[in-house]
Amino acid sequence: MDKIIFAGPVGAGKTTAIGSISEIPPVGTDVTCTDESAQIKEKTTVAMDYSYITLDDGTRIHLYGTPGQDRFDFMWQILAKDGIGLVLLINRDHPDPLHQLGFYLNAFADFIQETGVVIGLTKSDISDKHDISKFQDFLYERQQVFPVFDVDARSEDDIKVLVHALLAVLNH
Amino acid sequence: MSDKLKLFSAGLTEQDNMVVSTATKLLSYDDVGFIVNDGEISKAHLLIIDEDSPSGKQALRQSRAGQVKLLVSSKPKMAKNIIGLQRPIDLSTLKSVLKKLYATLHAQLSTQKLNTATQPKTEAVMELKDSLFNILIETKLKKRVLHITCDELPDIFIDGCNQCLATTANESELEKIFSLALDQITFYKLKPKSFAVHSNEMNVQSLHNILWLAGIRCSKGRLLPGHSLDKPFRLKAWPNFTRSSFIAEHLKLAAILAKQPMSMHQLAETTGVKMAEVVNFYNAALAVDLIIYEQGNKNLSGKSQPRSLQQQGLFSRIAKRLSLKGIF
Repeated sequence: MDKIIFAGPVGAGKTTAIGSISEIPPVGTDVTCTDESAQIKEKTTVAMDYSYITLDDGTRIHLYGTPGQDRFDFMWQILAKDGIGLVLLINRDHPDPLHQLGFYLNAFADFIQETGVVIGLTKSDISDKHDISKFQDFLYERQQVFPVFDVDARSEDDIKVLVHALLAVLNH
Repeated sequence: MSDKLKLFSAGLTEQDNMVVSTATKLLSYDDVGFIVNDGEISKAHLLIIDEDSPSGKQALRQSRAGQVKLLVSSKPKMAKNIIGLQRPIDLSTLKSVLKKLYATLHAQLSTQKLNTATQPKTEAVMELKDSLFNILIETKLKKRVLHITCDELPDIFIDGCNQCLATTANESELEKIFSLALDQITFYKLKPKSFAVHSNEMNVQSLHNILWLAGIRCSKGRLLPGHSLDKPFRLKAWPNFTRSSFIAEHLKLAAILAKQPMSMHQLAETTGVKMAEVVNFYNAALAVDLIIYEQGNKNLSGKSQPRSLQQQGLFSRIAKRLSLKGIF
C-alpha cells in the first residue's frame, strides 16, 4: 500500500494538514478528550485519520494521520508499516517543542532510517517563542539535517512543499 | 515512430522469450519501440535476464551497473535500476513495465543529449561584485544600520546589529530593487537608534528573508568573491522553503547537501542542475549562514537507500499530482 504518514503530538495539525491536500475530508476516529489533552483541544484522534489523493494512473496514495497521544503509540508502528515516508508536525506554541521533536524522531527512528522525514512547525502565526534556528540547531546536533519548515496546516501550498521536500529526501 | 530502445534478453525460457516477443510486438503498435537482441549486451538500454539460469548469470556479469535490468526469478526483488519479475513472465505485467520504462529511459536519454549539447564541460563563472547583494552581506557582517533608497520604489531600512529590516516593499518590488545597478541606488549610514524611528509602522522582518531572496535573484550565476567552485561544502540546515522563494532544483540541491559535502562542480555534474542555479543557491545559502565546509564522504542524516525505478516513477507521479504553480 502506498501511503504517507502524518505524525506528531496532539493539536499539531495533522488532521488539518491531511485535509489541505486530500480529495475527501479526512475520515476520522475522534472522541472527546477526557485527559490533559482536553486543555489543548476538544476532540482527539484515537486510531487514525484517513484520506487519499489519486494519481494520474489511478494509483491511490493513502494519507494516514496517527493519533497524537503517546498512549496510542502502538498504532504508530502499525500505521507506518510499508509507508513511503513521514510528515512530522510539531506545534511551535507548545512549551517544549524541541523535546516533542526529539521524542517523535526517536519513536519513528527505524521508519525514518528506511524512508525519510520532513518536519513542519505549525502555529507559527500565534507563536514566535521558538525561532526556527533552534530546531535547525537541534537537528544538526543530532546529525539529522532533515527539512524543517514553518507551515500553516490549513495551507495547501505549505503542505505540498512539505511533501515535495519529502520526495526530494527520498529521491536523493 | 519514436526512437527505438535496445533490449537484450538472456537465459529466458522458451515460453518467456515468446512473451517478450509478443509484448514488444504489441507495444510497437502504440509507438513504443524496442530492438531486441541486436548488438552487445553492454550497449543495450534495458536487459531482461533470468537470473537463475547459467547464461543469465553470465549475462549479468557482462552487464554494466547503471543498466536497467528486469530480473526474472522465482523470488523477484527490487533495487536501484532493478525490477523483479516473477517466472513465468506475465504478458500484461511485462507490457505495462516496458511501457513505463520506455517513457522514463527516453526522457533520460533526451535530457542527457540536451545537457551534452548545451552545457560545456567546464563553465566559466564570473565573480559577483558591486551588487546590492554584496552590500547587504557587508551590512550584516559589519553590523551597520543602512537606509536604501531608489526612485519610485519603497525605501529599505536595514539593522545589521539585530539582523532585521523594515520596508513596505512587496516581493515584486524587492526584486525590481535587486535588479538595479548600484548607481541607481542611494545608501545612507544611520545610527543604530535611528532604525526604530524609521521603521515605525513598517513591516519588520528577518534580514535572512531578504538576503535569501537577494542571493537567488541578484546573483545571476556569479559567485561571491573569494569562493571556489571546487571547495566541498554542505548544508547545516535546510532553507525554510515554505517562507522563501525557491525553484524545484533547490530541493534537489538541499536534499543532497544535507547528507554529504560536495563542491559546486560536483553538484552540477551529479544533478544536472545548471551551474548558474547552483551558484545562486550557494550564494543565498551562504548569506543566511547555512553553509559549512567539510571534506570526505561523511553521509549524515541517515543512510541513503537506493530507490527502484518503480519507486522513482511513483514519486514523480506524486510530485505531478501535488504540483505547485510556477515551481513544479
